[in-house]
Amino acid sequence: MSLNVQIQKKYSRFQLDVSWEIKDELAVIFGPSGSGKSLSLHMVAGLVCPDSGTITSGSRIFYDRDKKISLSPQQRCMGYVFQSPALFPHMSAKENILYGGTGLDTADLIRRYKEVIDLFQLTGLESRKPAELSGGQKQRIAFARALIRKPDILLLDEPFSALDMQIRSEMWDFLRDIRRFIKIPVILVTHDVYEAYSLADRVIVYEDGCITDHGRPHEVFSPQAMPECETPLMFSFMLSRGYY
Amino acid sequence: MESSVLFSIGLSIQVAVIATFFVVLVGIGIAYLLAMKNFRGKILLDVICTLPLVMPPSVTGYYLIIVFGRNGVLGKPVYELTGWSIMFTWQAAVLASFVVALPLMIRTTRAALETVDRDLIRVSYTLGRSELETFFKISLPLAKRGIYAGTVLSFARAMGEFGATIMVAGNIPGRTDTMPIAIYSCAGSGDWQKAHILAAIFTVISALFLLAANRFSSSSV
Repeated sequence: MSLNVQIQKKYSRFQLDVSWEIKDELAVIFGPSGSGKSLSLHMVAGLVCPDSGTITSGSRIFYDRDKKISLSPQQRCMGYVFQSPALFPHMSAKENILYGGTGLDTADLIRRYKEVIDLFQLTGLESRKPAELSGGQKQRIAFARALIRKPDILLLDEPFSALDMQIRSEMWDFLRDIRRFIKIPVILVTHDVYEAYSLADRVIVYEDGCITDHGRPHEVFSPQAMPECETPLMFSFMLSRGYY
Repeated sequence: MESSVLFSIGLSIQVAVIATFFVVLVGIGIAYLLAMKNFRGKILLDVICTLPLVMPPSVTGYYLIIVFGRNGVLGKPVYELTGWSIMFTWQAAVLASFVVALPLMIRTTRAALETVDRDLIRVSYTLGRSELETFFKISLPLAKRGIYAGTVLSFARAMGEFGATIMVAGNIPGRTDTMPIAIYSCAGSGDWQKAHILAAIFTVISALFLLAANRFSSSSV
């Protein structure tokens, strides 16, 4: 499966004009705040309508201005994990996860629920309300909820940015682990260079609403392409991850 | 206790319950539109729905006569078609109570709905849930404290409605004399004992409703 995105959106002080394509891989949209990363993800999910362009996956058209097609978020079957876990505070962890099982019959829902509980190591937390959970646990539940109905595409809008460094590092490992089980396009938005480098199969660099670079992480984050990568911190990080 | 006192208490409760039922239905719908949607005429709708809160009740009653009176915009065709007019009936008291209590419900519910995190609503949509489902399963439960508080305040306001009610329902003993109207009549005719009883009962009921409204609005979600 692939995802083709070619979108334009104009606001009074900002203009987004991007075009990219990804396959069953983890693509990181990387760039500074205000460069249009999250806006792109909102458009892919159908939460914001572009002014023009197309968003397609194979023969499926999510948005095509010329053909006057614009599927609602409910029709797109995409999993979306926000920066805040956005768990429903009045529901338990179990209820939150089951809420994501739209369209599954009871038997499938129970089977999928057990699968995601195991996959996301949530056993014992099912009856807890979000207020009784740690940041990492909440985010794992948000992932389980987004994936229970087996979405066609997974969108991650800076899901680790609110976590402290240790939990964030654990969540990165966790995302690498679960990617062995979910073979769908995953798009991760981040402005964290380490996160982008360590997780991405492909990096798309945004700046001021445009794509300034794209490619494999070692190409995009080479010192020639991105002088900030020469900093000792970045170098030591890459060493620790075995990239050099 | 005198039967006329009991009648006034019963009628006031009947009017307030029916008016509050419609206030809750209509109020939540309008509050949702104002809190969640952007559309042409939104400000106008907001102003129209808030006007009864700031206008003297007699002016609200006057407009109700213009619209629902026997020669009113809606009242005339209804009268010509059915031979029935809402004027000077207990249903007119319900109408007056509904109109004056509606802004309280709208404003309280709108404020409660606006506090619901928009990400929760977006998440629900991306999980395949319809707008209606999201409203009933996410927005409404999260805004319930504000909605309860609005309901209690609306009920209390409907119980206490006087100015608009006397304009459209009149003061017909045994038919349209709700508690506030009965108190007004008793005071006017020097029947102080009955006025004391009604006023005392009304004060207790109002205090209880205020306590309930405060309890709902101060509780955390």
